[in-house]
Parts: sequence; C-alpha cells; structure tokens
Amino acid sequence: MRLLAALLFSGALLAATGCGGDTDVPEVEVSKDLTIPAERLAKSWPIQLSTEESIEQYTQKQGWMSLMWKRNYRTAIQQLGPSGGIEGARIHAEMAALYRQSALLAANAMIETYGETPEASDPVGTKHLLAVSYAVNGQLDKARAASAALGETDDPTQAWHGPWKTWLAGDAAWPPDLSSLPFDLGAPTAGGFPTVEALPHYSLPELGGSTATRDMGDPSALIALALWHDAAAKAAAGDKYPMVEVYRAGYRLPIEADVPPGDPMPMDLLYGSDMLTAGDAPFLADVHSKKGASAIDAHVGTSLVAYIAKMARKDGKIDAERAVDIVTEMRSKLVENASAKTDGNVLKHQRIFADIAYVGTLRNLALVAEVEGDREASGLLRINAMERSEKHTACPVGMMALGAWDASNRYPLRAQDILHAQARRFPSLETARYGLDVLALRVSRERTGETPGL
Amino acid sequence: MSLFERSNLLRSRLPSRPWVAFTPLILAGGLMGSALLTGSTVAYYEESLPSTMNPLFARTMVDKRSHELVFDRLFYRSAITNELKSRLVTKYEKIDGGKQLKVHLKDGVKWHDGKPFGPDDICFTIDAMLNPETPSPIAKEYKEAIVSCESNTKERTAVITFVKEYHNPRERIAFAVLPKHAFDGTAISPDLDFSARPVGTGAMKGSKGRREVKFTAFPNAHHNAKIDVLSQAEGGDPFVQVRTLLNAGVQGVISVAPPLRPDVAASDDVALKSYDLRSWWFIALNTNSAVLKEKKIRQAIDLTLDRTQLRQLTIGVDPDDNNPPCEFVSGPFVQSSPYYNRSVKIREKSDRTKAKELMSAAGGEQQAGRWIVGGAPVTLRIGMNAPLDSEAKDLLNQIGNQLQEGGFDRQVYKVTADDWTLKAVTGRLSDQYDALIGKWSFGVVEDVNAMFNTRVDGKGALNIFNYSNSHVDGLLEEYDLAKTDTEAQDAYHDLHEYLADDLPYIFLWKLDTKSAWRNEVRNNTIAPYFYFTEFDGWRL
Repeated sequence: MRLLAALLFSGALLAATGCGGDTDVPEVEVSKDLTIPAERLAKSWPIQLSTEESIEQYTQKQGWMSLMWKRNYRTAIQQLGPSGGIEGARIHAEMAALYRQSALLAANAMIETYGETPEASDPVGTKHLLAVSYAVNGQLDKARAASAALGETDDPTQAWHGPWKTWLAGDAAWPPDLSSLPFDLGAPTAGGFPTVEALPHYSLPELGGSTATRDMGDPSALIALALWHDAAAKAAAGDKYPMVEVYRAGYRLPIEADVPPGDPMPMDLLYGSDMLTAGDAPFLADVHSKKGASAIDAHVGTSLVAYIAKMARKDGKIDAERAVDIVTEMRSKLVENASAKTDGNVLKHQRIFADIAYVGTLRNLALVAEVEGDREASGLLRINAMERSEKHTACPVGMMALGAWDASNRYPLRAQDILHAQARRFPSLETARYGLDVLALRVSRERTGETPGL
Repeated sequence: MSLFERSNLLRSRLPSRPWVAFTPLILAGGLMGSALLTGSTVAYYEESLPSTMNPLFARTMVDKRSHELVFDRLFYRSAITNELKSRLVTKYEKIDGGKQLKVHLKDGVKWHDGKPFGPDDICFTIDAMLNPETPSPIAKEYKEAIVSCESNTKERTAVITFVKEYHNPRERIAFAVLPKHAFDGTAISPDLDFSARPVGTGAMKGSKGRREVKFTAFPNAHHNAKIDVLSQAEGGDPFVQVRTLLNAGVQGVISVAPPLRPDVAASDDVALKSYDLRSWWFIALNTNSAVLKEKKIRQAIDLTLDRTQLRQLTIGVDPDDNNPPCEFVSGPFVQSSPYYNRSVKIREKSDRTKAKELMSAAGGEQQAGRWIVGGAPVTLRIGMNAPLDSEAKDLLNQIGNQLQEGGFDRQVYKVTADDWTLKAVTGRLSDQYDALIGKWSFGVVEDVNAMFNTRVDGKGALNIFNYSNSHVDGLLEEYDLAKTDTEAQDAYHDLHEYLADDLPYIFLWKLDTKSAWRNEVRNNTIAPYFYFTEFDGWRL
C-alpha cells in the first residue's frame, strides 16, 4: 500500500508540473456538457481508493476513523498522539481553520452589530471588539481607528487589547503576538488539544442609562487557539509543513498573507478531504492570493476543482446552477467508475466517498465564486453543500465558514445552529457565541413580519 | 377535477395493503406519479391546508408559506444573501432621518384579477392593519411601528410615517400588500370570500378548495414563475407521504418526520432540504382548571414525564448524530437562541419519587396507583394539534401512557388543525381540556409575549389557557420596554427561569424541520420562515 501511495503521489507530482506558474499556461479545453472526462476523475481520491484493499491503510487506524467517519477532531488528535505525523498535522490544520472561521464569525457579527448599526447604549469595550474584528477582516484603518478610540480606564477589555494595540501600532504583519493575553494555552505540542475555559471573559456595562451588563467572549482567544494549532501542526509535520499550510489555505483570514501554492497534496492530505485531486489545494491557495480568479485558468490542467470551475462558467463566472448540475453528475460518475473497479458492485464506502466529494467540491466552488465577487452564486453553492452535510460530509470547517458568511450577511439564525452544534464537540467555540448573540438580539428586535406560527 | 381528486379515483384499483386503508389518497398519488407530473405541474404535501388565504389572518406556518406564493411583501429578504429587497418598489427615500419612508412603485404590476397595482393599495393595507376593527393577529407589530401612509397616484409613490426614526425603516414594512379594490373598507373581517379566493400580486394565483389548494402561475411585470401549477394537499400519514414522494407520486413534502429522513437521504432521486425555522414543542397546562391551578400538581406532572423515552418512542434518536434534529428545552426558546437561559436545567428523565412527594404535598392520595385529589381521581383531558402526529408519531398516546403509569387518569383527543387555529390558540378550549400539546415556530424574531401575557387590551392573543400571572406580565413588559438588547435578553432569561418553575407550559423539545423534494424540481431555494420567497427560480 505504501508503494501505491508513493506512486500516486509521484504521479500527482508529475501531473502538477507547471502548476502555479503565471505565464505560458497551456489552454485546457473543458467539457461543454456536464460530464467530467473519466481520465480527470481517475485522478481523484474517491476513484484511487475504490477498492477495500486501497483503503486498508486508513481503516485500520482508529485516528483516521475518527477523523474521516465522525469528523471528531478531538478524539482523532488524541488517538494519533504526539507521533501523529502528517495525519496529526492535518487535524491540527483542521482545528486551526475551525478556530479561524469561528473568529471570523464572531468578528463579522460584531461589525454588523456595533459597527454597522451602533446604538448609544452599546456597552463599554466595543472599540476593542471592533478593532479585533476589523483587523481579522483586513480592514486595518478601521481597526486602528477603533483601537485609538478605546478608553484608557474602566474598560474591562483593556487587558485583552494590549497585544492588539502593539500590533496595530507596528506594521500589523500577521500573526500578532498574543502571548500576553490573560489566559494560558500552554506550549504548542503535536497531539495536544487546549481549550478556553472560564467564559465569559468579561462583563461590559452598557451605556446610555442602561443598568445591564453584556457578557462577552473575546475573539482574540479563538485566534490564539488557531495560532496554537498552526504551531502544533508545524511540530507534527516537520519539513512537510508547507504542504499542510496549503491544505486549508482557502479558509485563512482576510488579513493573512498569501500562501504559496507549493507542491501537490499527498494522499494522506487528500483522503476524506474537500479536495478531489492533488492539485486542488494549491489551486485554492492561489485563488485566494492576489491572483484571484485568474488562478482558475492557471490550474485547470492540474486541479479538478479548477477544471469544474471553468466548466461551470457562464459570462466569465461560475454559474451556481450549472455548477450544481456538474457536481451532481460527477457524484454519479464517481460511484459508477469506482464500482467498475469492484466488479460492478457498489461498495458502501464508494457512495460515502462520492458524497464527500460532492459536498467538498460545492464548498470549494463557493470559495471560488466568492473570490469572483459573486455572493449570490457563492451562497447558493454553500447552501447546496450544507443540504448534504450529514455526519461524514459535515466538515466542521465548511459549516463554520457558512456561519461566518451568514453573519457577514446579517443573518444569525443558521450560524447559531451551526455554532451550537459544533460547540458540543469543541467547547472553546462557545467563545464565538457571545459575539453572535449580540447580532441575533439586534436583528430580532429590528424586524417585523415574523410573528410566531402554529 | 384536481390532481389529488384524480389520484383518489384510482384508489379502488389498488391492491389491498394494511396502510392503504388509512391513507388511500396518498398511496394512489404515489402510483400516479407520471400523471401528476404532466406539463409544468408540481404537487406537494403540507402539514395541513391553510386556515385562511388572507395574510392579515395568518396564524399557522402553512398559512404563511401559502401566502408567500400569492402575495408580495413590500420588502423581503433574499433567501441566499439576506439582502433586503422589494419586487414592488423601484426606489425608496428616507425622510426626516428615517421617520418617514417614500417608496416609488414599479410600473406594470397587476393584481391576479387583472387590475393595476398602485400606491393606494399600500396605504390601504396599512390603514387596514391600523384599523382597530380589523382583528388581525399580525397587525400588532405594525401598529407599534407605523403611524400613517399617504399615497400619490400620479407619482406612484407612498409615504409611510413611523412612530420614530428607525435605522432601517424598510425592516418595519415587510407586510403582504392587499388590493384595495377587493374590500369595501379598511375594517377587514376574516370570514370574507377573499380568505378562500385571494387576489394578490405574487408569483401564483391561489384558490383554496376543501381538499387542496391550487396555485397557478400568473405572469406579471415582476414575476415569472416557471412552474405552471402547484398543487398543495394535506399530508396525513408521514410514512405514506415519504413513500409517495419516493414513488414520484408527489414532488415535495414540506416536513419529513425524523425517523423517515434516512430513507429519503438514501434515495438518489430525492433530496432533503433544510428549512430554517425554530420550532419548539410544549404541553400547555390549564392553570385555571380545578386540579392544575395547583402548581405542585403541574410540577408533579412534569416530573412524571420521561422526555428521553418520549423522544425515543416518537421521534427516534441516532446516537451518532452530532447535530440531532430533536433537542430538549427547558423554556420557551431553542437552545441556540440568545434568549435561552442556560442556567435552567433540562429534565430529561422522570422522577416519580419527587412527583409523589409533590402530589402528597398538594393534598393528593394514591389509591390503587391512582391519584385522588379532593375526593376524586385526577383525570386529565389531553388534546393534541392533529398534524403534529406526522412529525412525532403517537406522541399523544405516549404522553397519556406515561401519565397513566404515574397515577393520572387520562382521556386523549386529537384537535383538528382548524380547531387548533380557531379555538385552541384563541383560548376557547379552556373549558374542554386540561392540557394541549402543540408547537410554536419562529424565524429570527422570538417574541413570546403573546403566549404568556394575561389576555387584556390585545395582549396575550396566543394565550392558550388564559394563563394570568402578574410576575410574568411584569417580565413581559420589561421585555417590551427594554431600551437595549441586553435588557430584553435579561427579561427573557428571567421569564424562562420563572416559567420553568411555574409551568403554564411543560417544555418538551425543539424539532428541526426538513423538507424533501424530488430532483426534478430544480433550483428550489427554500427561504427561512417564509419558504417560497424565491419561487420564481424554481423549475422542472
């Protein structure tokens, strides 16, 4: 099996030659109908892992089972332990992305509440919360203005704002040094899983004559957790870390620097992931760089997601409905082509893999549509992915990213359900609930036309 | 003849099966799949038929979903991006810092009877809602926000005046617009012919019959539905609904019971669809009845019930599901809501010992396992909103059985959807029942004042057993008068804690709603709460 994985990896490397180049990219014709050519599908992990023998290496390890079948990162990370290697690094990367998206969710909610619809009675401390929220969204001018307006005394957020103030006063190169925050996660170690406890972090007195106080979880804690898991992933991956960094590049914060696309992904990072082929993560890293949507054409020869993005184009952008049709057809073909390798018998895992590929591809296309500036298409794709997100397809990072996106649209309801569900497994995510709550409360009190129904 | 009636005619030709006898219409529909899907026609099952087609009198979620097809709301939110939009307004201007809003109307929009839509219709709808002689349950919030409306037919504009400056006044005018010409005056009664044969400007023209509601596409300047006919029928047995769907007898089911969702998910022809709706289930207790006016007895009943077993028996539990569709609640909010008070413990299991202590403290004696209070056995007349049986099969009997085992005699009844809407929630079943099982559904707004406020001066309009408690009224007033979001949240946290102890309701669980649609129905985006907001995009 190791030999097979090595061969697949080297094949992917060969296929990826030229990937990421800015010039001299050969034009790749894409299918005009809904069907992806079989030879392109053959490079996807659901086809490469069609047979029971081919997945043995993964089904025999408990850590992989928890990761892949239950999406339970905490258990998986503990089962893999400090010697988790690239698998352990992958789980730390998932956790880092999850905390990033939860921080973004809280930040978007704070901006929509205290930034977009401020009220005179908003509590003390909103300047700090806005400074952090604008910062993670890459709006440094606004972050600095909010930081500068923070009161000097009697503000419970002062202790949390210190590192941000220093960071904003400097060149604001990511990441900030959050080591002086008033809690301790311990030194990052592979296989570790720190949690933020003692919530709320502080209570903020309301202004404008109100005697109420607003409990709050500070989003800095979520960023600190993300950075902790980045460091743990680095410790676990060793010299392979650049690949791990690319793995979840599509879910980095707007403030963060581009990630070089680097090498194609090995099977250990592909199996059960949102990606289809070895070139997809590098493509997504590139599409989230300054290249933006132009990365589609650059990667269409090596990335199946890029290929589908190009197939789904109408008027120069992804057409959500066509994209859903293509991915639906792809799912059928994945089952059909995988079962062809098992004498026509459709094995249970072949269906599950096709489901994961279906949902993951929709999520990735949603990210691309967002980069193209089409929020409607991005939303349709995100929601279509969510509809099929059950158990093994319910990737926590993808779900949390939908919640963050919803919060940026001032729609808290789905985000609350997502956060509530995820916090059962990852209690530190409760930190984000405080920010989301303030948005939900504000929205619920500004609407009419939704009386209780029987 | 309607599609569903035609389906029913074939029933006699079907082979005899045990479940056919109870729900023949639906099974026949299943075998009639190809016939139903003729032209651009879609059939679907609702929880019940709408109680009215007049949006001023919408009470059920079926009403609200149905009205979304027939009427346009002046402003609405995109089901995808949540953007605030209007199909009737081309532009708007805030006047006086947001205390007034001037809306400019789109040209060429027609009512379903062919008459032109204009600014008078907007002001008429506002005047109708503001008219105290219009007994509309949805008008209260508009009365609190809007002062008046002035139309200018020549300009095709209307200026709406609000009680105060609003940051975003468009949020306050999300009402369905009615045709002025269809009414004699602004005092609108729920029993007009309009409630069965409405005239709207929405994507579909609607007509309510006794057994189905038929919606027909009405091309307009602002709508272009791609599905010609949408046929709505009452669901009935949930198992048969799903079988019919899988057999292509209908194309959609609005609410799929949780135990049947795996069957639907396993099909390549049908997709489960999320429907953002917050619903929580309850047993309302009659605090005015001879026995249940005693709080200790209400608490004893609460302790007698084993929610874990009830859920297992009626909804089912998947231990591997990280996001279960059913989750217990201890108060009138779902757990993910900011109004939910997390410090109030959920009672998952029964505690018969403590229940006995409470009954004894309330003067009860147990004789041969039955509770005797005041010399007579405690007999509870329990009703349940009948359509709920589709989502939690046999819940009424299971609750009755648990209470019987706990020493309470019980008589159980299903309350028809009509009686539930017209009598139960209007407090007119107080003299007939001791307990009523129901559910409430919410969107982003989670105002529960109407359920627990004393029925006075238009308040407490949804107070099932006319519960009256001055402390609760005080908390509800605190919520209403709250100047800040946090004050409102604090008031509801206190309310939650108090109600969990006083128990005018026994709070059961929240239950997610999932729809299922066949894959032939494409681009079927489901809007939160209103469902059919994006129906123009649906197609076959």
